[in-house]
Amino acid sequence: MNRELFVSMQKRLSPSPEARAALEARLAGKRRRAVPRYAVLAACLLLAAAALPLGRIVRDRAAWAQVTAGFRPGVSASEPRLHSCVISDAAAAADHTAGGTGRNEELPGGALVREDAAAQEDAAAAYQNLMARFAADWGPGAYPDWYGGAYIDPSGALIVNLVEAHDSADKTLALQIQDWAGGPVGFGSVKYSLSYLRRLQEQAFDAMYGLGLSVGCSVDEEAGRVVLTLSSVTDEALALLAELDPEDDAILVLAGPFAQDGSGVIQPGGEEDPTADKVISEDQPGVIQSPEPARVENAIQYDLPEP
Amino acid sequence: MSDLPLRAGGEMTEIIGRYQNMVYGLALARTGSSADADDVFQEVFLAYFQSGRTFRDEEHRKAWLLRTAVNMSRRYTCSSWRKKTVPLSERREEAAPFPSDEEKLVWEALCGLEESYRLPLYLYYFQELSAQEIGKALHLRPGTVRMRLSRGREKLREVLKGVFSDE
Repeated sequence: MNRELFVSMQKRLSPSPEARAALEARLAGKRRRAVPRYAVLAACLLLAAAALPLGRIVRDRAAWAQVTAGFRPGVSASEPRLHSCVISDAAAAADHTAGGTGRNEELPGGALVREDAAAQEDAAAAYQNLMARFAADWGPGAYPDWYGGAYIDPSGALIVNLVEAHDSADKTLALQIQDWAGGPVGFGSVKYSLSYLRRLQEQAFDAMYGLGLSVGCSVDEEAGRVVLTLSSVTDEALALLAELDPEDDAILVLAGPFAQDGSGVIQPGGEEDPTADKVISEDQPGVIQSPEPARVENAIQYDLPEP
Repeated sequence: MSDLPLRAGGEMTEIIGRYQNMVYGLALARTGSSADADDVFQEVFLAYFQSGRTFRDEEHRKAWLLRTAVNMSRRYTCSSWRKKTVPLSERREEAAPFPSDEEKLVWEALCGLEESYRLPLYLYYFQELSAQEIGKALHLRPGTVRMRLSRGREKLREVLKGVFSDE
């Protein structure tokens, strides 16, 4: 290839004079609107003076609860807000994870696959293509903000969840996704993006682990939520989860006597560990499992109803 | 190396003059539309102006501008909020006008490639960046960059079919 040719072409790749003028105007506007230095200093001092008593209130949880009680209908100022929790046995807990127990290890990112899904090869290939596109454009392990996860439905079709905020009338994104996948794709709608759920998964796990609870944590891409399984649950844990998930719809908390393999590791969805005498794999995609749990003092044990 | 403090005013004009073609060209290669490339060009330098960053050296600043241009361009091609409905293939026809047929052929051939090949080739040939510098701009490993350059060159040669002599 001729170097001079590219140098000549590069010289012609310049922005339009209108764009250059618009940029100069915007830059000039930003310089004029710059606030005088002393005004900034005065505003900072004023803010600091006002924030001092507020900071004391925020640090005192009881006082903060009193302050915010008026903004939460139906919540008493003296009681901390608690996240909802489902008390169940292992069998019922498995039903809460979409797709039952099937997880196709060949799908990077761990898209859930129903055991009864037929002819998954095409859908799996389409999923692989989509993940490769995400990795190329957004980097390994990153996802676009409109992506809410993906799964293969019972008919064997790949379903890509789009975040609800996405403009449903705009079909260009759907066409683009189908182009990237290289095959037919169905679409669903979820509230939270997969990126948000992954961050929430990490935060929830860290919070529960910090409290010394045995915890399993995964992302249910079909339902668009984090599934958190706890061997026991405390009010402090539910209060922390309520802060992480204020609308109580991004995390499904399951509590009960789930199967453990002796090391305190809980299987997501409450499955009984078929290899109880072996070390649990640490690199199961999308699943975070806690190591040796500490005893939780004064933990409230929720009794299961008699069958 | 001493820091290069970012200052508005005269230095900003110099920075824009030095890098405007690089930013615009990358945006055009990414979006395929001169209008979008103009928008990206403005957004990149506004972000630069507002960031207040200091850079270790000129290469550091150049890498920052490239990465920002790539990210800003991504918003224009992938955002679900965009209302433009012209297909990407049609928008490439409004790209920068080149007076000679040779330059038009090369640009059209480049724009016809997949993005994974187009961007590394643009940065390598038009900006004369190394594989390592391209990797930093596109968040790719140098080995991946070299592979894409090699495959991209082959695809480009197939399209151009001996129009130009080999290197």
